[in-house]
Order: sequence, then structure tokens, then C-alpha cells
Amino acid sequence: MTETRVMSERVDRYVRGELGAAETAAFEAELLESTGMQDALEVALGLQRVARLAGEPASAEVLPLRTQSVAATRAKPAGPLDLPSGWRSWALAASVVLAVTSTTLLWRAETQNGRLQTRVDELGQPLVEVLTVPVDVMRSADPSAPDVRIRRPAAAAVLVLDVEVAARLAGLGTLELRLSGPDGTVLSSRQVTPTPHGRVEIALRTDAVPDGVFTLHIGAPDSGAEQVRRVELLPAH
Amino acid sequence: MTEIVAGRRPVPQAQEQIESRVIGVVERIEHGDRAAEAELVARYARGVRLILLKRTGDAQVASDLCQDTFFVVIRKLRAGELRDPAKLAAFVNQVAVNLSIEHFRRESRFVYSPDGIIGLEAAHTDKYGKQVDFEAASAQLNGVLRELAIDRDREILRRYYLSDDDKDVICRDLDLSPTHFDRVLYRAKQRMRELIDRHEELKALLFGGLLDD
Repeated sequence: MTETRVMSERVDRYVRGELGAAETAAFEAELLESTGMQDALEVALGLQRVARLAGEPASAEVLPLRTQSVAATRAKPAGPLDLPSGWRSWALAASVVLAVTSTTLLWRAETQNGRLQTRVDELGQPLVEVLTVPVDVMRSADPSAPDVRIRRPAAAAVLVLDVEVAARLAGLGTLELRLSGPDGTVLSSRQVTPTPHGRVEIALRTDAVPDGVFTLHIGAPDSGAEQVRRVELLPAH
Repeated sequence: MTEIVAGRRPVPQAQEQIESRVIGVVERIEHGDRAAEAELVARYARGVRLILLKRTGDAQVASDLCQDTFFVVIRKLRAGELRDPAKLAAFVNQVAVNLSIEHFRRESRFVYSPDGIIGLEAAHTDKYGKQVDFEAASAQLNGVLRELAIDRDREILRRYYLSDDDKDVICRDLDLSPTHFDRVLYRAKQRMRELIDRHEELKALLFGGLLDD
């Protein structure tokens, strides 16, 4: 039996889940140093995919690349939020920090590796937690009151506001989003396109913003329609 | 050829060279050599992606976890947390595996901006998706499927790679000799290799752009 064939069969056993835990760990560590094993694994995974496609209706197979639904995975908070209790403990600081860095952190070329380098350097002090807070339409009966109150966590973190866009705006394509701080300073202004679920998101580093009420304007420049949401960041306990 | 080094188990020379290079990378990272970090990523990224793809079955999740893996690895290496630098590959793999076990779903991607605000791009948009010529890719995929026109060949692949049936069972059920089974599998692998190498669109379609060169 040739060495190539032995390797190929071993790769198949890996793909088919036939290796024990220790064998799997050894296989994977070896794979990381072997382009030959990587090639074989790529082929086996490709065949697995094709085998799957062969057994499914053609129409369902053409576009495996998909967009992740954000809203579907998120729990709704009830009332004012106290961050420490509501925080999802994302497993690793790295996940957040790298998520923060860029959408283009891929590992394909020197340029991109260089970009990774830059980003990693910039983020010497990683944020260890992230909280996604839904800000829904009609959340507050009083238009002057904040839609959501959030207790600032003791440690710096990423706060993601997941904002529901009013139906009259959601279908208008690109919208203008403007976030103003408690003193009226415009902290961010950009164009956004709502997701298919009619939501847009903006994230803040909690250590980069003061306490107080933030105002989020979302509008369609052409139609003049606008939606205003208010979020209050309360001091940490 | 094998070298015997006092106090160490004999390892093939090629293996020693790998270890030596890897140890060098680890030491350089510990000493703040940024180029070594890029070298680390270039060295292991494809393997990590493949492992994560196999473990998660989802190119997007694999891509995300791959990024996380290297971030964690680099941070730990900078902090000198890897006690045995020769085991770098195992260490990288363990981080990737741990992350895949956690299997958290990143809900969004962020863009860091100088004003201290982190803006989110469209959630989880697959940048490769925009680059794939789906018509071309679909045509190629249909070609692959046509080449598996013999129902029995398709059945072999399906049962072997999806149902995880044993080779013996498949051979018995389909009245095949083990040699015939091996031949079908070998042919399919050869063809798949050719297609992956030649057709970027097909590769992107199969792997969600995760393994694009």
C-alpha cells in the first residue's frame, strides 16, 4: 500500500469520524504541518459536499453561501438592562477583539497578514465581553424617555445596539444613521442598509463614551422620513 | 534518515527541521517579532480552516473561528504561555478545537474606527459570495454530478461520506468487490482534485470561499 493511499484512507477515517479522541488530536496536529494531508482532506470534504448535493434537489444547492440572521439568535431583554447579569459570556476575548478588527481579516496573502498584524497590535488590551441589546420600535410610550437603559459594566466592553428600523423606513434601501452623544456631539454618521429582518446595528466601546442619553437618528435622505431612538448608559455600580 | 540526539527520541530529519523552524517562530513571537506572527498565520491557516470546516460543517463559522484561533494563539505566544514550542501545531489545533467546541456564533462583524465607535458591517456577509460566478460554479457542479451518473457510484459516495457506512457493508449491499469500491473512490478523488485546482468558482461554491487561495 503506498504512502499516499495510507494517508488518503486515514483522512477518510477522519472525515468519517472513525478516529478516537487521541488519534484525532494527533491527526489534526500532523495535518497542520502537512500540505499533502491538507490536500487530501480538501478533496474528501469536497466529495462529501458533492455527495450531499447529489442527494438533494438541485434548486436548493446553488447558493450555499448565506447571510447569517442576526435577529433570530437574540433574546429580548425585559425592561432596563443591567449589563453584568445580561452579558453573554463569549468564550474568549479574542473572538470579540478580532470581530472588532475588520471584516477583511482573512489569511490569504501577505497584505492581509499584515493587516492582521496591525489589528492585533492596535488591540493590545482586548475587550472581553460583548452585549447585544435590542432596541425595538415602540419600546417606550414616552417619546422623550430612553428606549433602553443600560448599566455600564465595570470593565470596558463592546455594546452592540441592535435597532429595529421602523417599517416605513426599512424598505427604503440605504439609510443615514447618526449617533449623537449626551452633549449632542455626533459620534458616528454613516450609511446603513437594514438586514432582511429590518434591523441595523451599531456598536460602542463602553470605555470610549460617557454616561448619559445617546440619540440615534435613522433616516432616509430622499423621503425625509426619520426615526429616533434613545439609549441611556448608566454609571457602573 | 534518522538522527539520534542524546536525551531525545529519534525523529526523522525532516521532522527535526520542522521543529527547529517552529521553535524559532515561537521564540521570535515571544520577543515581539511581528513578522513571525504573520509567518505563523501563513503556516497554519489553511490547515486550521480545514479542521474547523470539518468540525463545524459551516464555512462561515469556520472562517470566524479561524480568526479567533490565531488571535488567541498569538496572544498566548506573546505572553510566553506555550511551554513546549515544539508542540506549536498541537497547541494551535487545541485552541481551534476548543473554539469549535464552544461553537459560539458571532452575531456580527465590526469595523473599528478612529473615533472610538465600532460600526457594524452587514451581519455576516460573505465577501466571497459577491465574487463567485454562481452560474459558472453551478454548471461545474452539475458537471461533477453528471460524472457521477452511475447511480451506484453516487450511492457509494453518499453512504461512505454521509452515512458513514462501513466499506464492507457498502460492498456487500451493492455487491461490489473491495477493489471496485477503491477504484470508484480513487477516481472520484482524482477528479475532485482536478476540479478544485482548476475551477475557483466550484471551489468557492463547495467551501463557501473558505479555502480560496
